[in-house]
Amino acid sequence: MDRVVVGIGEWSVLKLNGVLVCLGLGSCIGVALYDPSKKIGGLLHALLPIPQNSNDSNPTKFASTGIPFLLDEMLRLGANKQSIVAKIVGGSQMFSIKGREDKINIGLRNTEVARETLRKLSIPILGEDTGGNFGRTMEFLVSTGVVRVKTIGRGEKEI
Amino acid sequence: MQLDSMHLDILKELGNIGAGNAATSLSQLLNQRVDMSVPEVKLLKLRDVPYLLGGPEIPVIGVTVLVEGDGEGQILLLFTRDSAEKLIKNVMAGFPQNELSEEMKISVLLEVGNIVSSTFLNALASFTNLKLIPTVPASTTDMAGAILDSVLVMEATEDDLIITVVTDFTVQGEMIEGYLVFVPNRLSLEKIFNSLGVSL
Repeated sequence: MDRVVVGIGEWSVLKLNGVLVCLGLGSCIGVALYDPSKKIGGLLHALLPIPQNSNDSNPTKFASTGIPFLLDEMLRLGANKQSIVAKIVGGSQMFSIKGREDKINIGLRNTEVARETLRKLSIPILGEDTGGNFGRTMEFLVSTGVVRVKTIGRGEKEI
Repeated sequence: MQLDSMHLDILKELGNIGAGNAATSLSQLLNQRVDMSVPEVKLLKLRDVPYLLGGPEIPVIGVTVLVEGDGEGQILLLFTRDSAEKLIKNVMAGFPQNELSEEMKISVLLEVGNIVSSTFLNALASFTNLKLIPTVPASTTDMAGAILDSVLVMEATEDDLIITVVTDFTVQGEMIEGYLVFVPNRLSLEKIFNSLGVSL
């Protein structure tokens, strides 16, 4: 069975089976899109909420541009737009630095922008494990749509 | 951003100077003879740093400070759990080990982070004539990947090379391995090179 690790700013789509993985998500956000009728799953590992300047040519580095990009790739593989659902994981704040919250709350912004982008695309969010101050590994089982979330010292859960 | 071999040599040299000073201050903190291998300065992509420590899911202890002043950026110290334990034991030598609370251990690591990052920045500041001030340090224990990506989102430089200093030092026969990751943001890099009369 395929196990595809999706690195920062990357994306991948699998059909029927296999596991899509984001290792050690901190402030980054992992967005899993799934068409259960066709068993087509896509995973995005976005670093930032929105592009900051015109030099940013990689759409999948950002939640705002990466989600529509991933959706298009899935539609191209035959996914049905009306069936697609989402699960999002990550967006934590690993460090607290007094007086510099502006700079370090990007994890929260990532989560907000991911939610908003999905809402605009009318994709319902079926599961979410975001926020806090700890890292998460996300495993997306394409055969079932289950997303397994692993942490260090905070157990494991399925969403 | 295009860095040529001269830029890389300058960054390595800055890393060497900063690390040398940081190492000296650490040996003063430990108040013991510290044998140190020459710090190895690497220029890596930030996203590749977790692989130095064994991969994105490996639990590590990270101590970070933000850099403020003439240039912005971040300094991150990374230790494996074993190395952190050894470091704490050495810093707190003479103190009954079983009376060390988790809170005390963390404050030892924060203090180490404080000293090492301040010395590193001081060396860099005097070399470049820039005013570089560290914030109060913060620490966490978690997956290497998660700690590194939180640095990435702050500086957004995942495609750029950053200075990573790997230092091995031996205190009373025990090897302690630590990683000092210096992430100047783009503007800071420009200022650093400009201060040395090199354009970017």
